[in-house]
Parts: sequence; structure tokens; C-alpha cells
Amino acid sequence: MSDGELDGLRAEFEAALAAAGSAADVEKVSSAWVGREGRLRRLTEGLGALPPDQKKVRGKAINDLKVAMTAALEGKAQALAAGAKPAPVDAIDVTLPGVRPRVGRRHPIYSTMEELRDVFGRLGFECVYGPEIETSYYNFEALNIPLDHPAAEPFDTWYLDDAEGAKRPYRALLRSHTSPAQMHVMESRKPPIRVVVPGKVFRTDPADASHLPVFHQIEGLYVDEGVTFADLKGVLSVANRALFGPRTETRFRPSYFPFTEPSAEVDVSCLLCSGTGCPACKGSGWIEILGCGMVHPRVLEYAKIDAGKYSGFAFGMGVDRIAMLKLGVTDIRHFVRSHPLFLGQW
Amino acid sequence: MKLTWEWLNDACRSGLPAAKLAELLTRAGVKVEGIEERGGETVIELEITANRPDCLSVLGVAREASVVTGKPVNEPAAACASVLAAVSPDWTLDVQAPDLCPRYVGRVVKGMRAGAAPDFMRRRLEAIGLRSVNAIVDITNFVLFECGQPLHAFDLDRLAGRAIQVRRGKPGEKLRAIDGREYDVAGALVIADAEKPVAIAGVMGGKDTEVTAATTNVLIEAAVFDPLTVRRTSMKLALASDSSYRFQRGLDPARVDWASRRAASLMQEHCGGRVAAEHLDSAPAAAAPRQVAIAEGSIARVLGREIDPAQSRRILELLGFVVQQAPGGWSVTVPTWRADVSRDVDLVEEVARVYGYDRIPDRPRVNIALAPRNPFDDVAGEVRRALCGAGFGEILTLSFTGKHAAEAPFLPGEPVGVLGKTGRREEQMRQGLTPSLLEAARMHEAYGERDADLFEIAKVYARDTRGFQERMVLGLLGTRGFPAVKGALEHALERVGLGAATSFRPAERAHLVPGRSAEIVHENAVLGTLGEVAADLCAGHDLRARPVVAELDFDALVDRARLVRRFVDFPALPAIQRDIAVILDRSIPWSRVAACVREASTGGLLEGIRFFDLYEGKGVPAGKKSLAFTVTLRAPDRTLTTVEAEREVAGIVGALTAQLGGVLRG
Repeated sequence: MSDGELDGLRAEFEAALAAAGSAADVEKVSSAWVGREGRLRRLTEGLGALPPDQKKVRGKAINDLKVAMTAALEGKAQALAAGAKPAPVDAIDVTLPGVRPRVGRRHPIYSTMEELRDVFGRLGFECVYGPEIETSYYNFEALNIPLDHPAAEPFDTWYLDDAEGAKRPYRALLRSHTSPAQMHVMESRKPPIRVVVPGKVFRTDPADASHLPVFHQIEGLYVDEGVTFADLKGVLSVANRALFGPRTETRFRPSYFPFTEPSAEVDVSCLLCSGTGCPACKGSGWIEILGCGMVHPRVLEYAKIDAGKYSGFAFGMGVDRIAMLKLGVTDIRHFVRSHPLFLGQW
Repeated sequence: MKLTWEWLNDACRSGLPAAKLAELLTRAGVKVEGIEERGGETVIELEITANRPDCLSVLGVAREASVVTGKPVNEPAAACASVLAAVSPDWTLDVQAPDLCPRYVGRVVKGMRAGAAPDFMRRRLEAIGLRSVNAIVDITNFVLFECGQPLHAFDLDRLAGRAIQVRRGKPGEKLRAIDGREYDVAGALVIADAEKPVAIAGVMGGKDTEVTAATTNVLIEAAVFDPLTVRRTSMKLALASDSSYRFQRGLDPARVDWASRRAASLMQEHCGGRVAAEHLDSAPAAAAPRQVAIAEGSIARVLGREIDPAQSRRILELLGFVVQQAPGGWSVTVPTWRADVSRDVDLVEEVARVYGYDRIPDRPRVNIALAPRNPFDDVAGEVRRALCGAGFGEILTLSFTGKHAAEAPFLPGEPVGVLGKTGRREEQMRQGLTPSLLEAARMHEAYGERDADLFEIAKVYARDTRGFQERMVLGLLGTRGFPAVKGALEHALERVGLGAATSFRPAERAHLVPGRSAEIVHENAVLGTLGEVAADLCAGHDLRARPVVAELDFDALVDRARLVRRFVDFPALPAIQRDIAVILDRSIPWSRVAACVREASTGGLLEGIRFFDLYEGKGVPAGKKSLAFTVTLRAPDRTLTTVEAEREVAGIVGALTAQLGGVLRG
């Protein structure tokens, strides 16, 4: 008789034991296998016909099997006995839902803004704030944006209703981007300057799935001696990996902003498809997330910073857009509707 | 802007499929937005930035394609082969406003049959979204998209006196344009014949002199108009065209006569016309091209990457710049179509974009510098955590008042109005957060969330004698009663170190219920208000609940906050606590009761006093209330005995009776 046959017997025993549902069943299995008339007993009887060396080996194997079967039978008997115990009188229904604490939730725009501040904070960018009511000097002229020119068209600006405004050289307005804050910082500090400015911005866009008249940007500015385009690329590539994941790729495309030269638009590899192409990135594998460039020397000149000695880079991104990308929000209006089913998700 | 790959391929045989060429152009800054097949042509949609009007044409994009692919640009022929006998022109040109029209070229083609344009031309124009009219009009449009120079064709025989004047519109002058609408052109720059305006310069031609099926002789206009003048006229009349789009952005002055000749030659070829030998040109002399100096090392200084000077030079030359060695660097002659290039950094960008932004290394050279934390972020973070922990959810709402104008102002002064695109007052800035909070509560109520607890930190705006003001405000709204909102606020204030010195005193505000509202005071300064919202205001917001709102000057909160925490040692000896319930007049506030208890405890044993119940009703006489509170008594140096504690409590009760008429409740 081979060991394979013993293995077969073991499997047969285990199946029989598993099927046993009560103490009486276990008893039946016990007598059928290890009892006086059991199948192991019959095996042992067959040993007498073997030569002495084989008899010893086989005898041990049969005995080992018997020990294992006995232990298994006892274990099963105990398990059945334990399960049969009546429940304590003070038992609780552990499947009932817990009593949830009443907690408020952060708004996803502010959480995203905090995440952005944090990433740039770790890179040494101090967070500062600027006024929301600005003048056309800071919003346009000092940033080298020619008013009354197509270059100013993307900045559909809300001007304040100001009858006395005609007497002043510059008109009061709601800032249409966070870049005016660059100028305030450069006017009030000496380089090195390394700041981010988050905040609300305002444009006359009618509300639709991707536009609101009030939205949020975060602006970055770094001015020091010897700052280059390579530094800009490096800092934003690092920041993008921190924001969108360690495998994020960053692509810089030449573009145009009046206040930077050279200028670039920055794409990151699509968050959803990782660059293979999907509806979110319109099949391109890339998603545009920010604009940036080297601070235009004329802007430094407006701020009375020596453009021969210092250089800098600036970048700006839409916080709402980044929140939409990261959270999968498909309509920007959700952010401002105060719908409980939206706010309760974060 | 749209053009077609086939058209572009005629101008520069790149040998590349549309998608590949699109990628190369995009990487060089000429962004391709999309590619689609239409009418047998491959339409490429481009997003051309405001600084690059030179790319608003097939030839302009072909120049870029040539630079990125190395294949040459094929200039179309603009020679007029069949010329009418050399007679002096039979029309006159009078540019009366040379400041607004630096150049005007007029060329006459005669004896045409204005049938349909050739198939290839119609196919391309229709593919890019233009409507084919007739061969003559189509040719002017075709040349406009081919080279970027807007053209206009007048029916020469319908120009009164065969005269062209470029002048300002006179008072009362009107013009029916090609779109069929009549425009008031007084003060606008117009093209006029001997009697009347016949075109709005740079924007649109007139109906009376337009080319029709009956036209045989045309005057082709190719001109340069002042960009700002065209822009203002276009905006004032709310009339835009492919021409006005280009005039506003600036033209290549060297293309004007070429475009005129090109159109004439096409008319000759496709309409059977003959070109008059003599044309009129108001300013044939070309302006001197611009020179820009760039110092050696500038490119590396800006980009952080050395680029071989020979390669930089070759890139500039491919783009049409003429580069000459000069002391300390180069002197670069800017091509006539690149008015956007005026200083050295502009040249650096030209080199960089063709060299490839992706070939400039990512090198974050960030010096170690401690970025200080902004106090606003610290305080706002602490307050947000505290309020969220207290069950209040953060909302974000628009800064305009919407339909609820000027309700419940928080910041004193006049409301701030804003002017929209039309120049009219379209919106008003919010002066407080209460209306926004009520709207959010209504939204919650509408979706079955009855007990909304909400907050927002945002700016409010007003105008006072000093000018426009903006202030950061914290607004809270709760639907579970005054004490719940007050408690959350107290908790938040405590978290920013302002708990102890803040008090609440009765106050009235127009938007709050009288007798159920308070001012929030810190060290004698009023920081804000708290109270039940007036019924009419709730009704105005379709709100069934009567929420409690609080508003606080958050800028003042940031100034006053103390976020540093210090350990305070606490006593090891046991304390004794006693509950006291006392019946008093309804009008006596808790603050007086607490003050009375503190004064009564002269032995220094009273450690704390904590309110726990207010009761009015059965068992308490009318006009009276029962206040219940716990006093904590402790001696600093010994274990307090029960006898001592009872004596202290008796003293307290005695004082309440003597001073406030209080009666101990059984």
C-alpha cells in the first residue's frame, strides 16, 4: 500500500468530518475511522504480511494518521459544543449602525486651496493675500497688459460703479486674476521674493458648467538673482508630482501672457488615463492646468526692481479647475450651490 | 482660427500627416485645438494668441510649419499678367485721416463676369466656415485667409464720382452694411465715395456698393487702419468680422500691396478680368524695420541652459529675423510681420519655443528659506477645525447679492455696484454674509436637511467716505437655537485664544429679532453680532426655519488671536461641587447672577460656576424663572470640609436673596 493511498484516506476522512453537523455525527465519524471496528484498525491488521523494515515505516505512518484524526475529531467536537452555547442576556446586535458624531465638513475648494498652499509652502513659498478690489493700474497696466487691446480680452472685468472714478487716473475694479498681488508684493519687499497668493477672482462670464463669475486662483512668484526658466520647470514639475501623484508628467507649451516672457502653458499627464487618452483629456493624454513664465522685465521695471540684476518666474492656476479634476466634479456650479448632497460628500 | 491641412500643404509641403504637424506646431506655441474632416478637406482649428496676428493666415502658419519641419514656404504667385493699357486711373483717392489710415492701396480690375468661384476655393472657404458668395467676393476672402491682409471689393461703377475718401463719419451719417443692418457711423472711420460712406473702415463694407452678380468692374481695397480705431468702432457698433479681428491685432505692412496684386491676379485668372496698370497707393514708402539688440549670454541667463549660438542664430533666421554680429552680442532685424518682438527676451522666447521647452532641463534650484506662516491661514484653519468639529459645515457662495440686494448689511456704508460687459450696473457686492447663509439654509431645507448648521469665511464690501472697503467676515448659521450657535462660536473663539475676554450683550439689529440678539464684544470692541433672524427676512428667503446667525469681523479676529498655548497647573486637592437652583425675576440676566455669586464668595474658595438649566413654567411663578448652576469649591492648601462648603453655599444663596431677590428652589 503506497503513501498516496494514506493521503487519499486522509482526504476522505476530512470530508466526512467537515460534513458532521452535530456531536452525534462526530461520534459516528470517530467510530467509523478510529474506533475498534474502524478503517484504521483494518489497515493495522494488514501490517503482519509485510517484511520487518517496511512494517516499521508503514506502522508509524498509520499511527501518525490516527493521532491527527483523533485531534481533528476532538477539535470539531469542541467547536460544535462552543457554538451551541446560548447568547448572553446582555448581548448586543453588533450589526446595528453606529451613532455617528455630528461633524461639519470642509468645503472642497478651501481644502484644495490648503493643499496647494501646503505643497508650495513645503517648497518655501510664503502665502500672502491681496485685495479683491483693485485698480486698472494693478490689474492691467503694471502687468504689461495693454487695455483696449485683444490681449486684455480674456480678462472680462467687472468695473465698480464709481461716478467719481472719472476723476482718478485708474478705474476701480474687481481683480480678474490674482496677478495684481504680484505687484503689491514686489513693491513692498526686496528680493529674494518667494510667495503664493490664493484668492477669489472675478470675471463677467455667465455661469455655466465650467464658468462662474467668481472663482479662485493661486498665483506664485519667485524673484531672485539668477532665476531661470529651468528653475520654473523644475519647481512646477515637482509641485505637480506632489499634487497629482508621483508618476505625473509635466509638459510645457509655448504660450502668451503679457506679463511673462517666455511664457508657457503647462499640461499634466491625464489623471484618469495616465496619458493613454480618454474622454477627460479629449484623447490627448494631457490636461492643461496652469499658465506660467519668466516675469516680463517690464513688470520688474514697474515694480522698480533692477531687471538687470534680478529675474523671476510667475505662475497661476485655477483652484476650482484643479478641485474639479482631482475630485471628479463635472459642474463648477456645484461648488457654490450649497446643496447638502454635494457638501456632504467631502 | 480655422484653415485646412490641404491649403497649408500647398504653402509648405511638410510631408507630415495633419496630426503630426499639429503636434509640432503646438509644441512650438501655435496651438492646434482640433482636427476634423469636412467637405473633403482636413480642417485644423488653431488657437492663435493675441501677440501673434502673423499666424492668422495660411502663409503665417506655413512659416511656422516651415521652421518646425525644415521644408520651404511656397509663396503663391501675385503677378498680374494681363494688364489694361497704361492710362491714368479713372478714380481718385483722398486719405483725409492719414493718422488712422497709414496706408491705402486701391487697384482696379475691369471686365469681369462674377460667376461662381472655382471649386477648390469654394471647398476651402466652406470648410473653414465661410459662405461662398461669388467669385469676386470669394477671392477677397480667400486672399484674406491666405495671407492675413483683409481686402474689400467695391463695385467701381456704384461709387459716386468714382471717388474714395478715408475720413471720419459726419454727424447724422448712416450706412447700411453688407449684413443688411443700418449703422450710425458718425465719428467712426469710414470709406466714403463723393457723396456718402460706403464702408466702415476695417469692419464691414456697405450694401449699396457691394459686388453683385451684375458687377463687372471692381476696386480692390487693401489698407492698414489704426488697430485701436477699428477695435473701438467694432465694439461700439457690436459688429465684428474676420477683417476687424485682424486689424485690431496688427498687420504686416509689407503684405498690403502683395495682397492687392494677389487678389487682382486671381480675379484675372478666374473671372476673366483685366487689371488696370496703374494703382493708387497713399503711402508706398516702407517704414524702417525694427532693430533689437541681444547681449551675448542672454539666452542662457533667461533659460538656464546654454544653446549653441550657431543654433540660436539659425532658429532666428528660419523665423525671418536677420542676425548681425554687434559689439557684445547681436543686432537683430525684426521681420515686418513680427510687431510683437521688441526686446531681447522676446528673441529668447523665439529661440526657446523652436528649440523646444522640453529640452530645457527641469532644475529646481530653490534656496533654503523659511516661508513664514500667514496668520490668517493659522487662525482660519483653527476656526474651521473648531466649527467642523462642532458640527458646522463650510459653504462657499458667490460674492454678489443676487436678487437679495442690500439686505442685512454687516459692513457699514453704501453698497458697491459692479458694471458688466454692457457697462450697466449688473450686480451688487454683498455687504454681509447673512443673505448667503439664508440662501444656503433654504437649499438645505428644500432637500430635506432641516437642521442645517453652516459657516462661511469670505469678504464683504461697502463704500464709505474713505473709498471702497473690503473686510473678511465669519458668518455662522444654525437651526438648533441660539445657545447652539453661541456655543459653537464660543468654542471657536476659545480655540484662537479669545474665549476668556469675549462677552455677549443685548443689542438690536434690523435683521434680527429684538430681545433675541446680541453683540459680540472683545476687550470693549464690538466684533460682531449674533441673533435670531427676523421673520420677514426668513419669509423673503422662503425659509420655514427661524435660524440663528452670527457674523464676526474676521480680520479683527486674526489681529487679536493668540494661538500659543501654555500649560496651566491644576490642583491636586479634591473639590466639592454643589448644585444650586434659584427662582428669580425673568429680567435678571445670567451675567448678573454669576457676578453676584463671584462677589459673595469672599473666602477664595469659589473656583468655578457653571450654568446648567433654565426653567420657566409649572412650579415657577409667572414672571419668574428658575436658574440652576453648579459651583465648584476648593481650598488651595487643604482638603475642604463639608461644613466649610455648606457655609460658602449659604453665603452665596444669601447674597442672591439679598441682592437679586432670589429664592432657593426646593
